[in-house]
Amino acid sequence: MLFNSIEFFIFLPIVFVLYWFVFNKNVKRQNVFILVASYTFYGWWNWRFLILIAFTSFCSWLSGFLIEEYRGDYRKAKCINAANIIVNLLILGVFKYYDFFIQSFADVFLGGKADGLLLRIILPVGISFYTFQALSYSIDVYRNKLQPTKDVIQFFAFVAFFPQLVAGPIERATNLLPQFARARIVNYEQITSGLRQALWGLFKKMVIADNLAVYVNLVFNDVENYSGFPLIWAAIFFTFQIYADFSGYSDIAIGTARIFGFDLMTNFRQPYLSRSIKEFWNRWHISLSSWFRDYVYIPLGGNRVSYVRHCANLFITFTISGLWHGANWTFVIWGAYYGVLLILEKLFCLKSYKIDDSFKINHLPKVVCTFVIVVFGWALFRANTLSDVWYIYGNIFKFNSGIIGVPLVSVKTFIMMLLFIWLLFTVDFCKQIVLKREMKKIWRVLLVFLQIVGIYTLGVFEEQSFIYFQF
Amino acid sequence: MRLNNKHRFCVEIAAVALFIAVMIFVLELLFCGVPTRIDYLYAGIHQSNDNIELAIVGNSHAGAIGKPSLLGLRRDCVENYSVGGQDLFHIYLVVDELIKCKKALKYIVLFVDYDMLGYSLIETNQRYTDREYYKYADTMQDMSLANRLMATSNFFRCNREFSMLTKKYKQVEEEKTSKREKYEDNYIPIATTDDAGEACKRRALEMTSIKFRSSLVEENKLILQHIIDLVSSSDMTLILVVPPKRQCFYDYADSANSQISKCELYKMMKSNSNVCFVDMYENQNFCDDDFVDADHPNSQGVDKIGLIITNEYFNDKYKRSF
Repeated sequence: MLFNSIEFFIFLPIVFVLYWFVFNKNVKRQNVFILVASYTFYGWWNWRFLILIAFTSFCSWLSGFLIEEYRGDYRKAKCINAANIIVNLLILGVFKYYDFFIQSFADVFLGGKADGLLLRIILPVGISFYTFQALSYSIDVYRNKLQPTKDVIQFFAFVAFFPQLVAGPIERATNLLPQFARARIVNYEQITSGLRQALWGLFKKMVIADNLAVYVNLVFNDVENYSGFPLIWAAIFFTFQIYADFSGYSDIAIGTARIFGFDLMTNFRQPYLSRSIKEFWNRWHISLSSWFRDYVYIPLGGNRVSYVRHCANLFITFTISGLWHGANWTFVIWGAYYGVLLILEKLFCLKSYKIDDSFKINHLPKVVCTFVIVVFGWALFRANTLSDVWYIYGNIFKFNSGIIGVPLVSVKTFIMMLLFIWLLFTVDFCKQIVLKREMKKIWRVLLVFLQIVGIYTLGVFEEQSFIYFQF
Repeated sequence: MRLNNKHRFCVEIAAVALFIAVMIFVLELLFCGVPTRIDYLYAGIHQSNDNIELAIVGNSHAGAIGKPSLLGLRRDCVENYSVGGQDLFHIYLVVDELIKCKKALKYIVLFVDYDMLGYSLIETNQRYTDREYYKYADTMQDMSLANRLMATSNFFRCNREFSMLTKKYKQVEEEKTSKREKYEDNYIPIATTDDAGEACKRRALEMTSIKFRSSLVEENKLILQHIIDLVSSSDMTLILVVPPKRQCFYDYADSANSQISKCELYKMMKSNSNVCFVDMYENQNFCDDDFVDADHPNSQGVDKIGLIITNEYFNDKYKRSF
């Protein structure tokens, strides 16, 4: 079920009413109900893959339980933790990466002929997200950061919690699991702020991201017909499309979770106002970058090793993070691209910035430079194949077509797209420098009505999947 | 595990719901009765002029033909029911309606470009056009719940285009209709500036590459076969025309895609001998002066097309009689 579908607009109020007015007698009942609702939400797409999510949940729950049982026996606990990691990664590997690696192998050694070897399985939606969330639990129990739960339902509900099931934020068990254990009290302010955040997320997805997608898809799905301006615009538009799409999803997830009495972590903090690549990764997809930091980068040694090793750790972490995004060499290179950039930043001893710093006009050159680097990265990320990547970079500055350059996009539509970008930037800018204080209620109400009108008159209502669903 | 301030919350939710309901109601009221291109098309089909013997259907290339005298029929026995940018699925819906409504109809002249075999309105982000047909055909390419709901809304049928509420829009549409009614010769020589060449290139790429999806060929072939079967089961004659293009179009067209479609179309015609097939793609009788742009004929071009269709039809009929 998609957040931007009619089904979800029927599903959410029903679940909300049942949750607060029927199953509100105790926490256990609410957890059971959340689990049923979450499995319905996921099974709506393909019920067969519920077996997979249940199996992943069971393995992680059982390993957490066994690790606690063998707490005194370090080797056994380690083996159990390793076994759980291997099983989970094996499932992820088979469903997401098997065909990719076999095809790549065949391309190099068998002349591209891999037909008999490929599994051609549909990628289960959100498998990378819930696998990582489940893994974080057993690793944290093993590291003694978390007491394992004996309540299977609670744990299954934590892994499958529908607001963040398919595209995050990838929650840590240390933050979310305790919330399933305690009684939930929500007040009017929490619910309305949750609904407002979800509405803004929906606006970003349906109005900004899906409208920008028209231009982006036309160009990126047929790159060889374009050069110069269309490629530049497509890269810039995709930069904002993916931001509006993914941060929109996160806002809906966080807002929806809040109306059920749960607090999810912030996933984006105005990433395009970053002054360095390091700062960008502290602001972009925070739940994933912090996951990689805690469970890959630090175990590799982090920065408490030799200089060369530290650089290697950065490169390995970001390359793996690229591969996490998808089974395609474009994602691997995209990850490596950031690994190299972070090493360069480190080599040139560029200053690390705190994300809480307020924006000043003298930040602008650094913000622009970082933004340009990020746009180039997104072109790599969006390209369908490696040959498309080389074509884009080879032809992006060959200006031999008009400013808009795409026959199916009118001037009016193009201007509207620029206005959407302006709107997104303005909101981020205001969040960064102006609106640290609470907005007056009248403005909040007005904004809600404007967003509703905006969605109804400009939104794309044909169900468009969220970009990060494929990961 | 409690929900505080229930009353306040319910009141505000009700206020938002009321706002949404009022907004939808007002927009529906504003757009009620605003005719779209498809409304004009179906109004033409439902007109009670039972003398129509030949109907021209297709996209803008068919539209450019106007209402010429074809197969020796008088102009008032010919009607053009084409819509710019139409794909084969929606042409099928129009042909179906024509057969139901036009009792005197004997011939259907269907303009099919090669690239139409790889083309769909939905793939080119024109779903709103798909919704416009739902009122009449009760079916659409995208029959999802959301699309069906939108298809029943006046606001969404008009593609949420507020300019359609202006007097100017109505004037332009009425002018277009009256121009079609009184088709007059207006010979316009082709522009020979560099811009025209660039426009020609863009058009060729748009039609044969950007809008073309080879994955749609099989589906479109099936739809075309449905059209052929529908017409032949109604004892009518289908004349399938591949319209000509200007030379520069051929120069820039994606020849691989055109070739795929050409092969498929010829294979189909081989197994459908009841269809009169007139292929004018790369016909040497046409020159640049026969077009207003890359692929739309002017009146001089229309005369040539009319003559070729008539000759080919009688020639084909003659051959079939043996």
